[in-house]
Amino acid sequence: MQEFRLKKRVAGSLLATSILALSMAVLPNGAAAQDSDLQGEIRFSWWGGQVRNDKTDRIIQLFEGQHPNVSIVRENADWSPYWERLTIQSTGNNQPCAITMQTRWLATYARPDILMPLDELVENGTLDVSGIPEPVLNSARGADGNLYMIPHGVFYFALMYNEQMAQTAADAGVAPLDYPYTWDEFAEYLTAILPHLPEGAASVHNMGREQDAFVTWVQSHGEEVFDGSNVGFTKDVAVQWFEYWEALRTAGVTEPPEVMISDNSALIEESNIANNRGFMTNRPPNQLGSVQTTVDTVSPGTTIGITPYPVGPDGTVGMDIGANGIAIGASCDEARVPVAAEWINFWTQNEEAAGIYESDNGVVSIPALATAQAEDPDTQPTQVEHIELYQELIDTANPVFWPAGGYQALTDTLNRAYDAVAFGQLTPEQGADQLIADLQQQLSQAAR
Amino acid sequence: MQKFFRRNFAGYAFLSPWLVGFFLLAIGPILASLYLSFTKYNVVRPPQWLGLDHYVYMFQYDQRFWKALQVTFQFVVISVPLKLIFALGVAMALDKGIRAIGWYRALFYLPSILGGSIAVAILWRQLFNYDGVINSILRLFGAEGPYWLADPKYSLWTLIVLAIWQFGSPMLIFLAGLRAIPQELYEAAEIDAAGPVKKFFAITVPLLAPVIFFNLVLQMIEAFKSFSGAFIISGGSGAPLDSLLFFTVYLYNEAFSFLRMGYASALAWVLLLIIALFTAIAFWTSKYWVHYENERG
Repeated sequence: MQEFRLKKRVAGSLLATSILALSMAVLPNGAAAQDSDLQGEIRFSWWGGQVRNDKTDRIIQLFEGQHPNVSIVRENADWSPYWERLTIQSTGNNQPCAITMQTRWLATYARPDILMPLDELVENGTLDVSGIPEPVLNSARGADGNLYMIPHGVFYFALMYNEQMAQTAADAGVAPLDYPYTWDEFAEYLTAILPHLPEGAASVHNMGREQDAFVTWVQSHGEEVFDGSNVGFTKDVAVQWFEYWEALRTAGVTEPPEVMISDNSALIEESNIANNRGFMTNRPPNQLGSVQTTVDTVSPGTTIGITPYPVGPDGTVGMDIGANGIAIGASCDEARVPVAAEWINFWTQNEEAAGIYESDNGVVSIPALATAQAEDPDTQPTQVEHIELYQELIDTANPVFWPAGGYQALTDTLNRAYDAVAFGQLTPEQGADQLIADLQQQLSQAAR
Repeated sequence: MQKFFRRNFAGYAFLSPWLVGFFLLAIGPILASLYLSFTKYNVVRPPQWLGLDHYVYMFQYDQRFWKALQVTFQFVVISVPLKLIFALGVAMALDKGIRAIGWYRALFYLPSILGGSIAVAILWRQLFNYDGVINSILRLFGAEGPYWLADPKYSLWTLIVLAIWQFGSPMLIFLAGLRAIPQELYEAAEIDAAGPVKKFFAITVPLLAPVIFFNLVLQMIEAFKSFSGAFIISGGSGAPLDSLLFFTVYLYNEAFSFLRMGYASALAWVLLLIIALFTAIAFWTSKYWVHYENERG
């Protein structure tokens, strides 16, 4: 277990530090050599909404244009159904040849009978991983040490806020948040800004049930979320988390529980931040562009900015990062593997493809491409902001190792525990007990 | 035997599409789920035999199982009688020989056709959202509506209203039953000075009892299996506070969110047994309150 922890820490810090270090690296040599004789049909699956679908479709058309005898069958879905469908496909040995995968879910699928180990294809040059930082590449390995996906985007977590409300408060004398700020300073700011918000607006979405925020809290307090397949954090840190949000809730700084749940499941256009009913919320920063587009329609004149999560009392950064990438299904027959590999090479290495995608699902994993995107005047300003904040934060990030079933388990158990606290059914202590017991049970079941 | 097959070959040939479907697509998965309910099976790894572990855990330790049962029973016990009463009321109103009866029937049946769909569940969510149509109407009268879907005090009621709204199917069956009651009985009762209430309880209810029983069994089974409304409105989790944790939603989550297919199979078998038990109870009680015209007294 100690070896595992050490491995995780080393991998984590390497991942965090070397991405920035490599950001000035020479641009990759472009796409791998194109094979005009390449032919065949493969299925490619990904998750996401319409904007991502459109971008993906354009990239596929570009690829198919360069390889006229290749056809890619599109299989897209929303986030949750995507994983359910992949599970069912894996059961029937009917998974697509090219599968979009994420490090948070990798442990569930990282088996040679579901995903093809890719090391050999990398060694013989079929797969081109040049420019991808080694720690990022290693984050795509399973527990058996095999490489199971080629990462194309690194994602991180941040907070979105209403820039006009922040300015109004600043004009009224509330000192702006200046990163790095601690959780206590964050709460003080949110409390100070409340009187300057429109009537009925909350300073912040109640994040007591949000696992991204909780992970950041735990790690910023010097603890681990998971210890292998066990709960890694103490009861104290969970109690403090619940107490933190309960204090903000009872002070009116954040929403009551029914508003929290309503906002949690709301579409962007229905959300409090889009309707000027909330100042700050947690949404993935790669959604900044689509959030701003929606806000432009719902609340014209409002602009949304992104800011990092608070740091711990001693300045520890708790932000998790992960990678999205493309895996090859184990059921992909031999004749189609070269097509799938070339597709992955194109997706990860081709500058034009990266330019179309604009880091839509995580900042492009090759640092030089990320820098090029940020400097490109044609890149959407929101995406530039997304990439620049990533480059600012990445060297201090704290990647979590997600065990099999860990993501679902933490989301489910935290939701239920904090809901019970916020609705007054449990005290923070009881909520923490329930959280740890339920989470441990689910992790144990998944690991058995 | 050979003669039997030769004589019935044509019949079995015509039946074969259904037989193949039944044995391969129904009986096969049913038996497979029974086996899986005794195993740990997460889809991506082969099943491991556990014996009765899932059932022991379910009844002894799984608090969410009991919560799911409680929510489901609450839904069944409240929604089924209300839906049947509403359907019977509308059927009686439509049994008055009013004009354009066909249009009314189609209109009232429409929600039942749409009722189980995802689209209607999404529509329901939009109606009952904080900024939805219901609260907008309330605001016209100066009232501020609650968070219908996010407040555990109200969330189940929105689904009960949705269930009642899908009254079309039992309503049509009631209407057919009402049409079968001889008018002479009502005329004779009127001669005896019976009022509407007396006629309803002395003639309509007893003669309609077989139809009421049929609708009761059908609607009860449907209510136990209710899924899409709770799933969509709760975002798939049963939130808030598990107030929408229908048995089927819990089962679905165990199967497809947590990949505990073995446990989900055990839950499915328990649900089947519960439905079978309550159907049997309904049949057992029917001998005390359901009478058929051709029965000998």
